[in-house]
Order: sequence, then C-alpha cells, then structure tokens
Amino acid sequence: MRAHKKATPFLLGCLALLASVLVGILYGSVQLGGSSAAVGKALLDALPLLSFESGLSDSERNILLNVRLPRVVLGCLVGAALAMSGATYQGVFRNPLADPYLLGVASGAGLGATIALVFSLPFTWGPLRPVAFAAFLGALGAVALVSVLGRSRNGDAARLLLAGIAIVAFLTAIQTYVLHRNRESIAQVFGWILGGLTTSGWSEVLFLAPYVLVCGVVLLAHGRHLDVFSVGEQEASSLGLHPVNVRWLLIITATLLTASAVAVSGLISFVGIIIPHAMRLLFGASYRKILPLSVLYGAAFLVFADIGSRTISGSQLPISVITASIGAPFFAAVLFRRAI
Amino acid sequence: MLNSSKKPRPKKLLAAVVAIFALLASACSSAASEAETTSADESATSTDVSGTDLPTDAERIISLDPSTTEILFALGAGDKVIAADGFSNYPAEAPADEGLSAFNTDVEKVLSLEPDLVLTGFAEESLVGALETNKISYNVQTTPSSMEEVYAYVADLGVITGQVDEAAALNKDLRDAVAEAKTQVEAGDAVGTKVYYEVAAGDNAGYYVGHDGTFSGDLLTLVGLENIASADAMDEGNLLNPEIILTSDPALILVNAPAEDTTKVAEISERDAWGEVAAVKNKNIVAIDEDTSSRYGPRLVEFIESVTEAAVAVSVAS
Repeated sequence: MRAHKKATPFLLGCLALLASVLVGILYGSVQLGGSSAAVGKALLDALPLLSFESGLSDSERNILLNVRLPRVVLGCLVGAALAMSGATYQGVFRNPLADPYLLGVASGAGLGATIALVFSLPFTWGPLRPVAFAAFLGALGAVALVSVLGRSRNGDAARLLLAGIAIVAFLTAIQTYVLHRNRESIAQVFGWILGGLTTSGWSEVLFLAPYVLVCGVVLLAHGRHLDVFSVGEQEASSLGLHPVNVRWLLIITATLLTASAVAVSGLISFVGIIIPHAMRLLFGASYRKILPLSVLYGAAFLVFADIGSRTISGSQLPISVITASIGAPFFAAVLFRRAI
Repeated sequence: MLNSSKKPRPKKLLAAVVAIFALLASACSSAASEAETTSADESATSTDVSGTDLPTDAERIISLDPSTTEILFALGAGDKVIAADGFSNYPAEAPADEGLSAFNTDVEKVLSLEPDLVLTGFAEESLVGALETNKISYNVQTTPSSMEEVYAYVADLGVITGQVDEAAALNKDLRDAVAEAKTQVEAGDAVGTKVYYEVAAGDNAGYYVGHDGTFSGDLLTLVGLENIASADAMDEGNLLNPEIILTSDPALILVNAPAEDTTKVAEISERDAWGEVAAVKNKNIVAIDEDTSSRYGPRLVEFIESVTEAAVAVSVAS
C-alpha cells in the first residue's frame, strides 16, 4: 500500500507526459489528413515492423514526422532541462527564488543572440544556426565570468550570487547599447528573447538530447547530496561530503544544461522556477523525488504550453506568455491550498 | 557509514566532469566538418536578389513581406500567391488570413501549404532551416535603400514569376510617375523646397526619418525637392537629432500616419520650439498614408503624387 502511494506522483507524471505528447502530435496549426485518427495511424506506420494505411499525403507525413514530432520532443527536452536545472540551483543555493537563469545564462545568451542577429554573424556549430550558437557561447561565457568573479576559498554561495548580479547588469547594459544602436533589429531580438519551440527539423533535438541525457544523469544521481545541502553546508561536510566540489559539479552541469536548452528555445520563463516548487509543495521536499518528478512534469508542462502557443491565436503566441499565464495561477492555487 | 563513501567520491566527480567535457569536445569536432556543408548548402539555396538559381516558374508562392505581395499582384502573379503574411493588407484579395508572420513563422503551416517559393523580408532561422531541409527555394529581400534597388527587385520578381514584361511595365509606371512629378515640381516653381519627412517619432532622442539613404527619401530628391535629412546626419541609433531639423528650417513637413489620421499633424504643430519652423508657421504639415510610403511597390505612385501636390501647394502659398 505504501509503495503504491509512493509511486503515484511518478505514475501521474508519466500519464501527464504521455497525454501532452499525444495531444501535441495529434493537434497542430494544421489538421493533417483530415482527422486525428489518420495522424495516429501515420505515426504507427512510421514505426519499424508496423504498417498502417493513414491516408496522409507525403507532404503531410513529412510535416508530422519532421516538423511536429521534433517540436514535441524538443518541448519535452527543454521542459525537463529547465525544470531540473531550476531544482538543482534551488538546492545548491538553498534559495527558493533561484531559477536556471540566476547566474547569467539568460543575459549571456541574450547578448550572444542580439549580436548574432544585429551583425548577421555567419558562424554555425554542428546543428546550431548562428543565433543559437552565439546564444550558447554567450550563456557559457557569462556563467564562466560569474564563476571566476564569485569564486572563494570556502565556497561562499552568496559571493557567487552577487557576482551573478554584477555580470547580469553589465551584460544587459551591453545588450541594451547594441540594440539601441541597431533599433531595426529590436523586433527580431525580442522575438528570440520571448522564446519558442520553433524547429526546422530534428537538428535542435539532436543537439540538445546528449546534454539532457548526460547532464540529467549527473543531476539525478545527486539528489541525495542536494538533500544533505538543504540541511546546511557544515552539516554536509560533517556527513562526509566535499561540499565545494559537489556544488561546483552541480552548478556546471545545471548551467550547461540550461545553456543548451536556451540556445535552441530562447528564454522561456517560469518553467525552471515553478515546476520544482510545485513538485515540492505537492509531493514532498526530498530532491530525490523533486528532480525526477521535475523531468516528467517539466516536460509535460512545456509541451502543453507549446500546444497553447501554436493553437490559441492565429499566429504563434510567445510560449512564455503561456507558461506564465497558466503557470502563475496554478502555482498560486497550490501555494494557497498549502497555506490553509 | 557515510564516511566510507568519502573516498570514491572524487573519482565519481572526475568521471562526471570528464563525461561532460567529452560531450563538449565531440560536439566541437563534429561541428567543424558540418559547418562547412551547412554554409555550402546555404550558398546553394539562398540567394540575393540578383541570384540566378531561383525558379523562373514558381507556381505556389508564399509572400511574408507586404511590399512583395503588392508587387506580385501588380505583376499579375497574384494567382500564384497561395498565402501572404498578416501585414499584407493590399490588395484586398491578398490571402493574408493564415496569420503568417515573417518574424515568428509557423513552419508547420508554411510547409503544409506546399510552396515552391517563399519570399520574405527577414531570414528567421527556423523557417530558413526548414526550407533548406525541404529544398524549397526562398529569397530574403531587406528594405531597399534607393529607388534603383526597388526597380531591380521588381525586375527580379518578374523573372521569378515569368512576368518579365509586366515587371518592366510596372517599373516604367514608377519611372514615369517620378518624371511627371519632377515636371510638375518644376512647373510649380517648387524645385529645391526643403522637406523634412518624419516616419515616426523616436523615444526621446530624435526622429525616424525618410533620409536620402531610404527609397522614400530618395524619391524626394528624385522629384526635385531638397531632403533635409542625409543618411550621414543620422545618429548611431538611426535617429535624427531635432536640432538638425530646426536649423534646417524645412518649408514642408511630411509625416507618416495611418490613412485619415490627422492627430500626427496636430502633434507636430504643437511641439515646443517647433513654432518658428517655416513649415509649422505656414501650416505646411501634410500627413502621408503610411502604407503607400513605407511599401516599395506599385502604390509608390500614390506617394509620389501626394508629395508633389504638397510641395507645389507650398510654393503656390508663398
């Protein structure tokens, strides 16, 4: 009975993820093949050893398999990445307000993307197009700067946060200056900043998947350490952890994960902070639970948000509008219920 | 108990760090070779306006740029335009109801329409990537900076749609309109009238203007007026400092506004320190339908006519 109860949040999470993926594949801005049954058949038909007559044209099958499917998969990966990174930051810094953009990822990526858009940089990197590549470099560069500036012998977390604030302000100032001198690019830059899961095929997924896999495994393996951190650092070291090393590993991993997600999706807000908190409020405070649950619910949440973004209005709404406008009331409701 | 796990910890740590760097390194090395093929691909499919590898028999065109939409319809190629972006409000039959946008393109919708050519004013990465993957031709035309560039683009669209003669005819209409305007300006003794053409008020530092490095500002010079804004005078944010406007003392102020909107004219005449400008003093502030002036296409003829009319009126009044 007890084991059954323990598994419930995971089961629910799997169901939510499955539902979001199904809805995300069946419905898009175009109705493929005239019915969602046809889409389902075409999807099964694409699996090895299965053969179904779906009635979809070649072009429709191409859209399904090379536009819609990668978009849903990308939503899962980005949602999982942001939620996991957010949970990790919250644990490492023991700060409930920490989100994945805390140490300058967002402002670094924003500056990189702005420069690439304004100066039409031609550099590509693997599957990354110029703007995504510049955003990725900018994100990593910003956090590297923060780490160098905020480093201290005893691993004081507050120093790191303060360095983060300084670097974020500095990079944002440069970005504003570049934009100010090149106002004709403002619409493009804001389009990128608002974030979105627009894919041009599988290349974004191929780029992001290895990071999510490797970084995800590292983070998930350290749930227990995050739990120990939450007691306090002195206690952690008295329990036999080397807090500075483990903390750096977790910060580097979560940053790499966030930067790779931001490179292909822009700055999607709210997922990284709200999902871990919702997990904590709903299912308990242990990071051994929060981390894996964040993967499931973060992925499901972002796929649902993306469905909203491409179907609610005629043109595509920025996905952050959806994540915040659905996420905030839901989160407030959870908070309210827990308070009484 | 926990102490026993202390020793192997650094190894685990090291392994994790190594794994992350290996991941980075492998991505790096595969990048070098792939980057080359990507850029090779790009030069093969994306072209500038004068490129020769765009189709000359496009039958299913998506236009994500309102000026391009207007030109295509003027060339009689409107039936080949299967979809246009949401800003393409002219002509009325332009198929703009798909809600497409050049800046945030619904790739799924674009592909589902099965275009053989996409014309856009902005190279959005996901769109360009999807078009290249699916081997669909596309062209990115940024706003022309002179009338010569407009003529060249019209001619190119003629080649692309197989409407070469119609393109030549449209260019002739535009050139004729310029010549006719010039004659009228000369006849009305308005040659050299100082014009300030305001596209939009900036934030607080200055104004967006039709300077001589824009196709609309270029037109002012071509019909014989004196454009007080040169491209060199623009500041780094592409704004014109109001001091330059006031010292130039323009006799005519043109201002972009939605059709039938007179609030902009009133706003300019009420600006502090602008009261001594000749155009303000003599009430020579004229609203220009912003759709005809901001789109480089057939309706530039209307823009040319309203500019000429306004300039001649100034000359007559004085």
